[in-house]
Amino acid sequence: MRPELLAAASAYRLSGPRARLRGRSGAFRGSGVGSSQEFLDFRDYAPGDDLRHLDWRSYARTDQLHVRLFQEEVAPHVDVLVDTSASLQVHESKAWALRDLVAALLFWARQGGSRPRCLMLGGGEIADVEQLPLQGNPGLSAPRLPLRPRALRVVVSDFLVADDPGPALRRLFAGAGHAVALQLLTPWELAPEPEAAVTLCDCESGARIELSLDAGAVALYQRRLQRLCNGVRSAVLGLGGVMAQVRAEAPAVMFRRDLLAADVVEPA
Amino acid sequence: MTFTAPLGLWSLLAVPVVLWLHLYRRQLRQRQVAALFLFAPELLVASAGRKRTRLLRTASLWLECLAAAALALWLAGLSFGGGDAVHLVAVLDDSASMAAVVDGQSARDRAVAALRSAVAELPGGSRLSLLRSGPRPEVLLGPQALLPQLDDAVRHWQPTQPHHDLGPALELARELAGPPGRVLLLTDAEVPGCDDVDLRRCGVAAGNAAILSAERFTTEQGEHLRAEVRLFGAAAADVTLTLSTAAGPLGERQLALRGGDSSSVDLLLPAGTAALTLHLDDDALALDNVVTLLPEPQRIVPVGVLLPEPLQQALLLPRTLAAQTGWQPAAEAAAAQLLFAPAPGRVTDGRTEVVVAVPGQDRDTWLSPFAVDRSHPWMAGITLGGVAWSAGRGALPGRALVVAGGTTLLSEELLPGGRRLWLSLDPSASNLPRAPDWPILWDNVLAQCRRELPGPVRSNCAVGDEIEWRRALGTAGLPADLELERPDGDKRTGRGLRVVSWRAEQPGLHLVRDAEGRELGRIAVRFHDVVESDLSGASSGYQEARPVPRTAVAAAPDQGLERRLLALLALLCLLLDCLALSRRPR
Repeated sequence: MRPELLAAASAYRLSGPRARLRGRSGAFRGSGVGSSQEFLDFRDYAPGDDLRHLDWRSYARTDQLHVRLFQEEVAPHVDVLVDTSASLQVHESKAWALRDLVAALLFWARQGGSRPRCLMLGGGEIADVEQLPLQGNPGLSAPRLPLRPRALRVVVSDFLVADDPGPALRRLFAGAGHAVALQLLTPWELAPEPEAAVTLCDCESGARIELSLDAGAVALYQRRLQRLCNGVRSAVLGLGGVMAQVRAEAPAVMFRRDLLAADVVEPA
Repeated sequence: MTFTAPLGLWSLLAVPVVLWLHLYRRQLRQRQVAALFLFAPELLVASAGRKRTRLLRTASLWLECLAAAALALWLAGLSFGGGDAVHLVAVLDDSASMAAVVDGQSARDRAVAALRSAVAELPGGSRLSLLRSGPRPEVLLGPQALLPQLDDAVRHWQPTQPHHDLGPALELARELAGPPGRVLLLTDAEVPGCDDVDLRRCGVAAGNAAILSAERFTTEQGEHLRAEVRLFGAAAADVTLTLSTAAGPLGERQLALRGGDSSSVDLLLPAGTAALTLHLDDDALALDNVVTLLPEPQRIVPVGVLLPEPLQQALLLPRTLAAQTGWQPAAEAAAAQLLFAPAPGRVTDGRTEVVVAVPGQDRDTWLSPFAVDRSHPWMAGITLGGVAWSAGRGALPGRALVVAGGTTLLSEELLPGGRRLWLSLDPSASNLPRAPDWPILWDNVLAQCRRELPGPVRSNCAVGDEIEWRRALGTAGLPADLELERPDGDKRTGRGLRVVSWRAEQPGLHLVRDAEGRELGRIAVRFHDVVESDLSGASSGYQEARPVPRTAVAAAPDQGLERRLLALLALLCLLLDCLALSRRPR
């Protein structure tokens, strides 16, 4: 990782999921009783219980042995699903932001004790994030490898697809312990500057149109983009997940302004 | 709307060329986007790389099309008439012969009709200037007036002036017209030396009898009338000269004249004949058929004498005045125009006061020669030869007229209300009252007083002369408030201070009125001009101006306001297009 990215990522960690996760013992609350420091409940002592969890104060008052139950802490599986379609490299800043974002997610997963996987939408596993291939399949296709159930599943994409993203997101987040959708957009994609006549060329299909990108055209575009983003957000929230819109900028800015605000990460 | 170069309309093809360039050669800035469907899904095309692109209605397209259209119209010489408009300067010959009526129509009427016809043929937007010839050319219309104003301008035009040079009017017309303008001279005879103007002759040769001269004069027998009548052009004719006054006819004379002959008439008028009218039979030119003669006004100077009787006798004043004419004793001193007084008094109303200062013991006696200011009217004919003049040593005020040594003997003092003659003289020790210069002196003084009597300088004058009216000496400083009412009823304010004058432009009786409209007097104006009365040289025809070689710049068609505006519009469009293209984001 670049020192700049490492410094920015070190200040945060992945936020805890609302659903119970499954994985190795780690930092996240598991779906059962565990050995964490977080008190869960009392129950009567049964042979074989860990004597370290006996509540001696209760025994002194009631003369009954009770053990304190603590929340299980797990290090969840983290699957980072990366949209590697050409639209993610429509601008150099967007491609860099995608690499930074994926690298930070993997970093945060490893820091939490997980063994993350980085999978390409419609493809296989990505070995080296720095060599992230950005000529993948368009759309939100599921990876060729099976996804791990009850894992923290993060989809990084711009979600700029003409079709309804709901069905695709449901497929991607099916069986996930926690769903996080990160929509990466460039500043120009969020708020284009009005300009004179221009030829717009679709980076994936090659289609092109010529139009005067005046204030009216920009306003129309922004209304359509807002409608698309709302569709993605509704689909993710409907799946119990978290959705964050990330503006492709410097890592520290992206983490602090977009991920922290959306409760995707929390201060380390 | 005209196109002087319609082939230039082919340049309108520049407009589709601009469109073609926008369709096929337009290179817009390309931008890669991730979601083209968000911009204009309805405009998506399947394939890229086509040659023809959608025409964008940008400001640059409109500006370039507009500039191309403007340039095409500029080349085609678009004009709404302004380019062919001309400035016609018409000169109307105001000489009296233009009023001659032949076959029921005057040359003036034919000139006006010709002018209307010329104006009707002018292209739209043309302008007209109308001049009336004369010693002082007058602008009747314009400069550069609208064509419909012609009728109002010529409605009251009646040529009455005597013969005059058309040169000043033509010079003024050439100045007004300038190089691209056109000058049209409307006259009734040949005018040599004006090849550079269009000449329209509207005259018709005709015979004409005219009163060439008429005057009233007084002899010992009484007042006489002398008139001269001439027949121009016609072979022979019997002409009747009728004399009449306001009271009735005085008689008539039958004159048998041959062409070019003149006949004089000499009549003894009855005593007390007032305004006298001479009238010839009607013929082609009416102006020279009528003459009105007024009697010259009697200029009697009221004289008052306040000198003591012995001094009067010593000065031989009664005998001297008795030898003069044109004066009468004033009823009272205040009414005297010439007043002899022993001491200065109040001088008003242009009066002349003669103050005889008899010296006392302090005096000198001088013998001729004396220094005399002969430039003064009073001193005309005065020599003072052999005169012994005894005068006081004191200085006399005013302008010295007779000086001996350092002593002023006679002087004139100008006063606001009149003038004063100072005479230092001891008649008992002088022989001046018995010298021949003495009655001459008072005759001069009386003549001066007579001239200063208010009234017309001349009761009869000719067209073209100055009508002059002398005001009282005391009113010289006041503004000229006299008006002359002409025979046509028009009133003109006179110019001048002491002598108010007007130019006589119409024959007939003119009335002089004061500011309150009271009639002060009458002046008769007659027309007599041998050249104008002779209609034998009148002719008709049209002579176009000789083409004048012009410089290339002058020969070029007028660009006109429209073409300048089109050029300006094209330039503006191109500038705005450059601005729009430069501000387009790259």
